[in-house]
Formats: sequence, structure tokens, C-alpha cells
Amino acid sequence: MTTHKGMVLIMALVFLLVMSLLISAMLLVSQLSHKTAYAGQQQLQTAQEALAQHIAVLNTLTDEAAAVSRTMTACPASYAAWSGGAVQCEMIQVDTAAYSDSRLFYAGYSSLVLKTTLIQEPD
Amino acid sequence: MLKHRFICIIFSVVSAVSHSCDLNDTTAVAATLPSLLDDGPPRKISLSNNVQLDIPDAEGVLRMHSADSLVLLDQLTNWPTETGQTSSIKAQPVVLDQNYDGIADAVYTIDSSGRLWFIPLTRSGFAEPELIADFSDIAAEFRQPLQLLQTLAPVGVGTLQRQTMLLIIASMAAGGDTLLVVKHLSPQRVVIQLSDLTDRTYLSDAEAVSGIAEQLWQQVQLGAGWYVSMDKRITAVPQVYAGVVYLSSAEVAAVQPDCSLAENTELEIHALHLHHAGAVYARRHWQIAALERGKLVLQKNPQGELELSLHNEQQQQSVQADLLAITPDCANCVVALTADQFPRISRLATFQAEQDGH
Repeated sequence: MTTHKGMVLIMALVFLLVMSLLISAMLLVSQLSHKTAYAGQQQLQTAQEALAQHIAVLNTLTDEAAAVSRTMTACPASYAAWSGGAVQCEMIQVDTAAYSDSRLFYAGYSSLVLKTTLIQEPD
Repeated sequence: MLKHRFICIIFSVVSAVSHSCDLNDTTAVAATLPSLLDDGPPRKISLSNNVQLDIPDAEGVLRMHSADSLVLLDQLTNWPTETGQTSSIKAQPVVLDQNYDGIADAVYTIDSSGRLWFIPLTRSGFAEPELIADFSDIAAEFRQPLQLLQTLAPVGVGTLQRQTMLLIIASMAAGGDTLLVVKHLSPQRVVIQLSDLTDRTYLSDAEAVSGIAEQLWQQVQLGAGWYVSMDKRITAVPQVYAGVVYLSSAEVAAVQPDCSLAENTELEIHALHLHHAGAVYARRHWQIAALERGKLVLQKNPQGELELSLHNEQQQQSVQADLLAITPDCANCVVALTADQFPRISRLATFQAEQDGH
């Protein structure tokens, strides 16, 4: 009876050992652990790159970058105010998006931008 | 004999006022109203005053026509005064778009005696006018165009409040013009009088050296506006560039009714701080050679720098280079206003797009 108990224990241990080896091998081969560990980090990296790219687009704002643009009838109130016909204001929506190298991760940013342009009398 | 002398005085006063040159645009003021239907396109309208309706001597009237069909949509002839009337409206009204949706929300107009009206607009036309200021007790004619500015005005330490500012020109019977700047914040409880405005005609010696004093600055912030009286006639519609009010003036006798100037007249250029009428440049006003019927404009010179100049149909004349802009950091704070600051990009909001969110 005692011999049987010992055998069952040994068998269970051997089974566990084999399973552990199998799982370790699978993890190693599939890099599942690596992917799991780096998924969040990669998403953050993508979001950060997308934001940097978005800010760069805003800094060099071109007409092509504007997804939606609307000319305002009057510029928003400001401390250093302007007469109505002196400046023109446009409300512009800028959308940018970026993907990770593996194209598995995506981050997109949108901004509302006010563009104030001087209206000048023709020479 | 006394009666005869009185009539002579009245005549000379009236003729002095009627000789002021008219700075109004001859065309009616354009605006946009919402459609009468819920989902219809906005309607273009025009607003005409007594002068544009060719009844300058009649009681005050404001009419709203369709800009396309010229059909009369609404008119204001009944005003909330004791007599139900207001004086003739000769000054061009201004339109307020409070929420920047392109649709007019209200109209400001001033009658020739100095009653300033705020008239909300509805889908169907004018709503009940509200008297926001009454300058009828000063002997002046108010016939020059109103100007409207939407500002963030300081109201105490470090706080900015959105307000509408109106630039009004009063042609004084005694000669000379007065520039009044009135702040309006709807709803307004009391009718503003001249005594509610800060008199900024003269600057103290101390202010000329070191800028406006803190106590006076606080007083102006909490007041209803300011005014500057001149013994001269304003010759061009005041322009506000980056918080600086620019205007030109000349001797009253030298300004003809058609805005032309007598020979050898010198023009005076004024540059006033929008919020307290103090000096922005080293001097608050200076003299230049006259340019007849000159309009103040901001433009780039051949070197690509911004400058203020006077323009008429034939000529242009530089008035001021090295322009300045006011800043809210302090009462006297200014920065250079340069062409490379434009177009000015201000980021209002940034948000991250969500995809496949759960």
C-alpha cells in the first residue's frame, strides 16, 4: 500500500516536471512572455511617437493637414483685441495617426487649432 | 436782442456739429439671421438707419431687410422711452455674434443724442431694445460709426472676463470730439452715464514717466469704461490693433464736411491702451503731415515689417513702425508686434483618438 502511494507521488511529480518543461519550451518558442511583457510598453511608445508627430504637424501647420477648417465671422475675445477687419480667424481640426512597426499598435491624436491671420490692405 | 443772440449761438453750435466729417460707410450693415424653418439655411439681412433710409431728420428708426430680396423683415420705431421714440440714428450700428456661430445675436446702435441701445435679435427680427448707456446729458452729437470689440478685460487681480467693448465718438457742441469706450456685459442692471466712465483726457506727470498707477488701474478695471476728450476732430475711424487704439485728429476748423483738410493742416495720431487709455508708446499722441481722407491701416512695408500707415485713394503715408502689442501681464506691459508672428497658431485642445476601445 505504501509502495503504491510512493509511485503515485513520483508519477505526479514526473508529470508536473514534464508539463513545466513543455510550457517553458512553448513560451520560449512563441515569445509569448516577451510579447505580454512588452505589449503595454510598445503601446505607450507608439502613443508617444504619435503625439510627437502630431505636435510637429501642428508646428508646421499646412492646409493639407487640416481635416476640417471653418472661418469664423469674428475672432475670439482676447486681451489685446483687434478691430473686426484687421484679423481673420480660422478654427482648424488636425488629425494625425501612427502605427507601430509591426502595425499591431495604433495611436491617433486630434487637435483644435485657432489660426489668426492678418488681413492686409492691398498695396 | 437777447433772443437774437441765443438763436445765433444755437445756429453756430448746430453748424459746428453738422460740419463734422462723416466717417460712416454708405452701405447698410450686413448680418446673418437663422432661418425661420428649423433646418433651413441662414438668411442674409441688412440693417439700415435713418441716414441709409434717407430720413435723417425723422425720429430714430432701424430697419431690417432681406439682403437678397430687399423685403422689409422688421423695423424698430417704438423704443422703450417715455415718448416711445429715440433721436435719429445716424451712426452705423454694429452686430454682435456672441457664440461665434456666424449668426448675429444682437445689434448695438446709438442715436444722435447719445442713447446707446442693445437690441437682441430673434429668428423673426428685433427683440425688445435695452438702453445700456445714456450720454444725452452731454451736449454732443453721436453720428460717427460704432465699433465693437470682443475682449478679455481684467476685472481684479489676475482675472480676465469676457466683455464687449464699444468705441463711440461724440462730436461735442463746444468743438472737438470725445472718444468713449464703454464696456458691456449682458444682462446689465444700470444705465451707464458719463460719470460712470473714467476721464482719461489728461495723464499725470507721474503716469507719463512710469505708467498708470495701480490704484487708478484698479479703478478703471472696475468702472464701466473710459473717455478721452480732444479739442480736435477725429478724421478717421479708430482702429484697434493688438489692443492699441489708433486714431487721427485735426483742428476742428481745418476739417471740412467731406473730410478733406484745410491747407497746412497737421494731423495728430493718437495711440491709446485699449483697457485704460494710457500711453503705449513713449508719447500718447504725435503730429504728422496731413493726408486727406486718410484711413488708418496696418500693413507690411517693403522690408516685410509691420507698420501703421494712412491710406487714401492716391497716396499712402507711414505713421508708425516698430509697432507694439499690449499683454495682460501688467497694466503697462507691451511686446513687439512683428509680421513673423502671423499666421498665429494657438492650440485650443488635443485629444487622443480611441480605437477598438472596450
